[in-house]
Amino acid sequence: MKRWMGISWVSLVFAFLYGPLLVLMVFSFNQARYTTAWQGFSFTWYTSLFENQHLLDAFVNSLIVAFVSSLAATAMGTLGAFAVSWYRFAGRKIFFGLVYSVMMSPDIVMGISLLMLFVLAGIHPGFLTLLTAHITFCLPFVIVLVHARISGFDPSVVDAARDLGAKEYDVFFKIILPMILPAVLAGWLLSFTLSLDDVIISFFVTGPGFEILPLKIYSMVKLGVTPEVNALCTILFLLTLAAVMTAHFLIKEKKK
Amino acid sequence: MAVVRLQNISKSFDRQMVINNLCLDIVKGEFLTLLGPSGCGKTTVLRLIAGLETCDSGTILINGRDQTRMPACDRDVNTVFQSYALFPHMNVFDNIAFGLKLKKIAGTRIRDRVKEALELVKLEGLETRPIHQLSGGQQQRVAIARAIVNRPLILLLDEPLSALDYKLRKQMRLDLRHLHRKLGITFVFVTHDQEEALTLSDRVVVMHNGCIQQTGTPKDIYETPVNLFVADFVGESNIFDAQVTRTLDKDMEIQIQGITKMVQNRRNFTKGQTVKILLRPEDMTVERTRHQCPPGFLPGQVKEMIYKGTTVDLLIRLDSGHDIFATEFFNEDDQDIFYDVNERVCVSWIKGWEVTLPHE
Amino acid sequence: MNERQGFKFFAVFINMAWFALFVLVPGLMVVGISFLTRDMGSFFAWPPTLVHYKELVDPVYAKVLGNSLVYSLNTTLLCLGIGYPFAWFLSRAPAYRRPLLLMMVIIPFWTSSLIRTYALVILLKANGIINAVLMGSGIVSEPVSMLYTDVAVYVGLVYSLLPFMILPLYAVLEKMDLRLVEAARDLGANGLQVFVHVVLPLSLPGIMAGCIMVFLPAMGLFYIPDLLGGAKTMLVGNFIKNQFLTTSNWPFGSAASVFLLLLMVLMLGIYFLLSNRFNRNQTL
Repeated sequence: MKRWMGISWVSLVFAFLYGPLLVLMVFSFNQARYTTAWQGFSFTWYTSLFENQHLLDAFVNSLIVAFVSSLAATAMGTLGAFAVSWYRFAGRKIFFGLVYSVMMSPDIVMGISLLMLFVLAGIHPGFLTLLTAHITFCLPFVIVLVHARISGFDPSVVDAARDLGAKEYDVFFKIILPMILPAVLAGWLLSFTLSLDDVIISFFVTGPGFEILPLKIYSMVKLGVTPEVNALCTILFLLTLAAVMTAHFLIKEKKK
Repeated sequence: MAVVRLQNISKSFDRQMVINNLCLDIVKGEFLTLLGPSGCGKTTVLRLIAGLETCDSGTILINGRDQTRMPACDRDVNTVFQSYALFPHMNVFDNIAFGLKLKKIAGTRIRDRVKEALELVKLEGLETRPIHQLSGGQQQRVAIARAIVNRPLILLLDEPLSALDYKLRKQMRLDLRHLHRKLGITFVFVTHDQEEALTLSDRVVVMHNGCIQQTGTPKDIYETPVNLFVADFVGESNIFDAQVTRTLDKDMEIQIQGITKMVQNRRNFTKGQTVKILLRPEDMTVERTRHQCPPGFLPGQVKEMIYKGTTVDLLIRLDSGHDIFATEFFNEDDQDIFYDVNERVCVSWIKGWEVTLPHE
Repeated sequence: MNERQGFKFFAVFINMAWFALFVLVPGLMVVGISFLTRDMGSFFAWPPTLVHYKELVDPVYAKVLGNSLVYSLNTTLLCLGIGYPFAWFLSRAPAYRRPLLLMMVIIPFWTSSLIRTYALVILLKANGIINAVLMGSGIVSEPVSMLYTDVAVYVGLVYSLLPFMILPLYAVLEKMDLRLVEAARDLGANGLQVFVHVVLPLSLPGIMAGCIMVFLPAMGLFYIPDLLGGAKTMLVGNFIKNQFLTTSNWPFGSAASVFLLLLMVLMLGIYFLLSNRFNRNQTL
């Protein structure tokens, strides 16, 4: 009886979480333009998507921002997490205080505060401001992920490597880097997803000359639903799905 | 010549003195054990020899050369770590070959030497196994193989058996002895387990508070401890206060627990001096009595009897109020070593079996 | 040794400098500007004033803000109501099935909330799928207007934020020692008593973490009312957005943001007090 209740509650919630996404994906293949009635399977909206230069530009812009910002955040965050957790660093509490407060602070506040910073500093909103903002909100995720991995180590592994003849350089590249690599890759993938999906912060820091996909979708949906957006959202969802599942696999593997 | 000579080594962590002016010679080819309670500095000594720590003062000579400041990677010394510290992202072969690869040894030679090392630790054929698929005992053996494959001058072992269960630990002790004989290199072994130290080593160094208390063969350490700490830490002892009442040629008469007894005088104690008499439980002789104890015997009462299979341990409360332990062995002639609780007994020992120390 | 120190300093420094420049400085600017006078030309000007904070508690705006807070609060409660039993059942699922189920919660957690909101739009709009089903089965004859209602906004907020409630709850419930429940039962507690006296107190840190992770973002998701609620629904986020982009009232928008930050500090404070108390209890 109780078991039955549990199963049905869990199924209902999953149906709620996945139902709309499923409908979205199915309808991206629907021939019909205006009605919800099924008029046959087709790739029409995918082909028309790839002929829509505006959307493609925004997509490429988004990919560039996501790629560069996630890469930068991963490099910086990995170094930071490594330095803070490996060498006993006096200010580590302050450091992690900052990291967690950035992680928790509401997107809207980060958005408007960066907007004011860029306006007052006279920086033209566009690619660079977007990049800066995205690095800022990705950085804490990378730091937390990599730090978690490093603190799971047996510290004497480094002693062992030195004992067997490894110099500082060998220790980093042959021992530490390969050991934290899964977490670094996961941090990179998740940063990429975060950056690709962000609406609120980007909304305040981008300029008219540099359109990115989520904002483009936002303005299109405000004007009305078009089947191309179905196709676009399906592609974006599948991209996220692939990135998250890979990242999850990478993080989980360490627990063996 | 000593393979390692530590001269006046001192080391502090956070202003806390861990090693205090320590001197030690390690003989080439011996199996030396550093024994002491946790925090006595034994692991630090090991790490100083390995080069994983640098000492604040003093010199470390390895094979006659001053290597005090030489980093770990350049020393001809390898360590088996307490946690094994195997590289989790490499398989067995890559773990063992790590040191050889860094030395840029040819691939075929590496394969041969890894194979040889695996045979020595009885893990043939496990080269491609990932580390997390090995049992604790197997990981232990890989850690040993990874160290000895480099053919170091000295092998350092930091409590390597502490994570294993009892049976495996006994097996590994035998294997370690065997390995030591086969390789002929110097082993320096760190442990807090006195049984391990006594059964494995050629020589034992007992440490306490960053200082060496006693150095000697297991027999020396056990039978003639130089101070109360060693006596108490290595094995069990009954300790009595006593007063020298008369000295003879090589003997002396002491007043102990209200009786008078003759013991050996090995340290030129003089009349009137207060001394400590140490007696191992197995050196005590216990006799039943219904009446008064004969002279030289201490009267008492059995309070607990603990059956241990090959022996029986007795907790005896002497009439003076002092509690002592005595161990009785089973033997063919006298099957009757079971006592009743509260049974009256007389306790003594054979002259010369006691250890006499000055009062500290 | 020196080289190592230098590397460590560099690695920590670039991160700290980045946070200082792009989080701390802008954050302080928000606080500073909230105390300055509004100015049409340069956004803000001297002299310092408390007028924007007074405006926040002025009945006109206080009502707007209060209503916005009610949306976030209700969303949080709805997520807790749906998420708690869900997380409980999930944590009691057979161990071999849990990784997959957990993965199914994590995927929407990371998926763009805009895409997911858009999926809801398709479902709810007048010629959307739900109306098609309703009319097709003859339950209604006219399309029911579901989009641009309060209900739609709540559905959107809960839909977007539910995974953020489930994950922290699952984390504490999965770790919970079931022997405690057995012990309570053994001592004579019935199902409700076990829940009230054992399970609920032990999962308090998870509840608080989940509430923070839902309540704070729920105030900022301005595009959900935009897409699902029409113009009349407002979250604190819409309010702030309007101050910056529509009326160009930076100081007032900043004051509202400071209010959000204070709420965040307050909630995090409660969370740390709670989790500290629990950690101490565990070591006893």
